[in-house]
Amino acid sequence: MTTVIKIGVLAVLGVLLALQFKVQKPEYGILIGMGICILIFGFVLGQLELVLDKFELLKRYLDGSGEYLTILFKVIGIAYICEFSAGLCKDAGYGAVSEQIEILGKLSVIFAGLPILFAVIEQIQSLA
Amino acid sequence: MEVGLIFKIAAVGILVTLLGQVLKHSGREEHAFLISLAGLVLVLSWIVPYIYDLFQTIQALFVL
Repeated sequence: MTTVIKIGVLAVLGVLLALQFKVQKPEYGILIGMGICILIFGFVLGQLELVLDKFELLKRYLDGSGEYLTILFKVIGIAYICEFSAGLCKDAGYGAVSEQIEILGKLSVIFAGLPILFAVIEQIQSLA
Repeated sequence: MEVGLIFKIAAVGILVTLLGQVLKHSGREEHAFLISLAGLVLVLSWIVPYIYDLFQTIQALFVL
């Protein structure tokens, strides 16, 4: 619980620091924002290791669906990268660029999820 | 990858702004511009490796 509070306080302080540069030098504000995002994700990565171990456990129980779990994890990775870069572009004030990145993210998620769709369709056809 | 990174960037930002103001008021516009460019490049050289590591880790972790 305390780490969550620490991260929250760090983020707020960092943003307040970045606000100082909003007027004279906006680029430093964005760079500080980027630094904070990287720091927080560094912390998230630590937590993700635990999630990954539980995933292996889950994969053993659902023995048939190992491949789909990896796809699920891949989609999470894609979503995170697109969210990270889109958020930064939005901070910098370039909404159009962040929209493009979000569209790219959605498309790559759909593309990553296609095998699951085909598996479902084949399943249905085999029944019918 | 520690909190010092943010304070380093802030310190460079403050320094560049101060130097820029001083140079601007003493009539040397282009020096002020060069100073801010140099500061920006310096901060970018710090941040880009971290971003590269971040995306490498994501790629490795999520098996992209």
